[in-house]
Amino acid sequence: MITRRGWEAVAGTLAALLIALYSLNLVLELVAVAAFSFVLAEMIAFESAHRGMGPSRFTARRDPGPRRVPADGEVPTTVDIAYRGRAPFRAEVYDVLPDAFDPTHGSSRALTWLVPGATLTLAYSYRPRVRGAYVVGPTMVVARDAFGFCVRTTALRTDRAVTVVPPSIAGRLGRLGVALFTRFQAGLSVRRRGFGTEFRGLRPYQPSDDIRHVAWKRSTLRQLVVREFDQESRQDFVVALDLSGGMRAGLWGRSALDTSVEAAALLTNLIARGGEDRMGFLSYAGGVFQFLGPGRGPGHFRRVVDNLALADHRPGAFSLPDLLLQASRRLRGPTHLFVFTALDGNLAGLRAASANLRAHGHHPYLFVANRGGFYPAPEEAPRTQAMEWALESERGRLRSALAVTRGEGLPSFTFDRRGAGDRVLYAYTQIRAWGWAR
Amino acid sequence: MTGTPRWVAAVAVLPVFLYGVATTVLRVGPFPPLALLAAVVVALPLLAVVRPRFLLATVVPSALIAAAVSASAWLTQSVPTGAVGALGEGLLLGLPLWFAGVAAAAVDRFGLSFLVLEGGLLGVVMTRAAVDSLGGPAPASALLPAWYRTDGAQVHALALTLGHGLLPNPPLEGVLDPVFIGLALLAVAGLLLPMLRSPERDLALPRPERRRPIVPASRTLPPPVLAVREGAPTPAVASPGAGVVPVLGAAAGLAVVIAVAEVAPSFVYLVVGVGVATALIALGLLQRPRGARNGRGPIRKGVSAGRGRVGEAAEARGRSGRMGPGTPPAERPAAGVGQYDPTARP
Repeated sequence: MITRRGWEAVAGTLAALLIALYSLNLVLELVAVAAFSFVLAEMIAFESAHRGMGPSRFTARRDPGPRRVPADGEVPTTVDIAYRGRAPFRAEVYDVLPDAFDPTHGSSRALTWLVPGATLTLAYSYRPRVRGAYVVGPTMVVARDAFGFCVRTTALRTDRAVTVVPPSIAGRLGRLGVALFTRFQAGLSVRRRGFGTEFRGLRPYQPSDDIRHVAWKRSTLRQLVVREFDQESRQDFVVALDLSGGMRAGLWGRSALDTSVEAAALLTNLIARGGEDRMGFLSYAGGVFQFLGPGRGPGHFRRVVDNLALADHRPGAFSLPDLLLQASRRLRGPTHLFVFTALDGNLAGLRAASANLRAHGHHPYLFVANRGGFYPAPEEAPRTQAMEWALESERGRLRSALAVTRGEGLPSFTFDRRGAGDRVLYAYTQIRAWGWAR
Repeated sequence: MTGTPRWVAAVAVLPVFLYGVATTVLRVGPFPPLALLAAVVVALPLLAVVRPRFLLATVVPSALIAAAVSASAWLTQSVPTGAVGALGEGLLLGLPLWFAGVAAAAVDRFGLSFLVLEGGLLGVVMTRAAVDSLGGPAPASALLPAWYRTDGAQVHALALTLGHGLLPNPPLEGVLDPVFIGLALLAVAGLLLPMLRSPERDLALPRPERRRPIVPASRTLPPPVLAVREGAPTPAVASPGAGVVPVLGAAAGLAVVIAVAEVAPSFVYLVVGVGVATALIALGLLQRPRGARNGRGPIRKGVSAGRGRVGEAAEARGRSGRMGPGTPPAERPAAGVGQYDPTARP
């Protein structure tokens, strides 16, 4: 293929030939002929030498690195390219990297003189920043002539699919609270009083006790006795993601949905680490899009994390009452439902849906994206006040929506671009310790 | 890409144009102050050799002078006289230096640079023919009319040549001063030969592509490094340069033209035309995919040889980044060794 510089050289020397023709002067003609022959000889020589250039002239091999990478992790990779052709050439070799991958060490590009039989190695590291499914590669080999007049490009199939999963924050939190450990992990031999279904014993009634726990057959008229239960050791959790357009708020890679996914991944890791609870996944946009019932085990947690990694926006509106109704139809045992949403849409019917969900023994918790907090303040914000005007409108909407949900007794936590991990951690700790969170 | 250093181009190109100016000044004159001032303004592009980004700005004044002289000649239908005439004389005096400056400043763009060089040589030849037509020492005011006469005679001779096959004595044909020839060859060599050297930029890393801006990392702790493997990139090797192929090509072209000019001068232009057409056709044929010429497959527009749809699609997909949640199960990563395990303990 002739480059722009090559076309310019051909056009320039052709125009020079026309000038020489106008002059009818032998010196000018010889000068123009010399330059034209110079350019065309170089181009024809290059094109004929590399005419059959293609993937068959190369052997490429990519280092089989991991297929699943945590966001913000660092992955070293190498690509070995052996040249089997006959003519040496000036080569520019580069690996195609997605925009979400930042090269950190080394370079994914090389410029060198490639001779037959030689092997070129690209060695570099990249850091994926945004979760999702990506392809690293192919490796492009660009042959150029010495003047840049011609170029030949070949794509070598070194593609490798990489799934970028949300970061595993749980691995670096340091010492976790005792409530986050199982009894076995924590070395605790005593059972803990809680609000599970496992019977622990009887004790005298106290004014703060729930009247429903009174053991009437064991009680006398003078002394009421209540049943005491152990902490529920195996609880079910389901993460529900709002995939509607309202969760697009924020910068690429740090939107409300991305932040929600990160927090959901934190919860998944905590549950996976504990080994007792079960975890499920539900996504919603105009209806339930995905549902993965509560379960445990490495394979199940990997499925949850993979689905979290690939969660993306979908057309369709979000309706919290409908989500709660749909969840109550699908969930079997008592479940803690963590809903990450922007709380768009109509909240009519929330009371009935919430009551229905609770009647089945489920506990919903709302993590509401404060969309105003997903954008940094623009530089000219103090001067224009436009951002403040937009934020005020969003704050009003959020206040009214939270008033409705909290009025219905739904625990509601707000989060912004700084993340929802601390809210989720708080809620999970509270649930593990007391059976509910507020 | 490989380029000729500007200082090399300036040193090589400037002598032939200085020679052109010198032959004019020695035989015509004295020039009025306005003409000298116009010549200095026209020669401003010489400054662009030092700072090429000022090339356009330095070209504009000379373009204005040329436009004024041409407009005056067109409106009055005669050779300009007086102040405009003086401007025209200054334009002719400074024009070779204009060409020298532009050719040296634009040396990174070989096609444009060489075209300007050829145009400058034509200008020198034209002015030299005009000065020769004056016979002996002449006043500066005679230069512009002589230049117009020479140009008209050249066009007339060309028309006769093309229309009737006659070859009368065109005025530019006779300018074959040995010094001029030598300096012209030096200028061409100055543009072409430095390109043959080993490019210095070969050892530098290529410029990275532009990437989409992204949010800063959300981590404050060092990230984990996965799948550490010992591997070092191959050190870059500088290319040996272009080799002798283009030089041999230029020499062959020159030899053919000189031989034909010796044996049958009237066939020179025919031979040059046929040679140009043959070379361009050969280049066009080499551009086609190899399979297409043998009838093994159609020529797919936009798919060059050795780069199939797979590569283009993959490259486009790689740039777009995320494949999204709709990834079919077949493309989902499979379980295996070295994978990220959320249940693994730190």
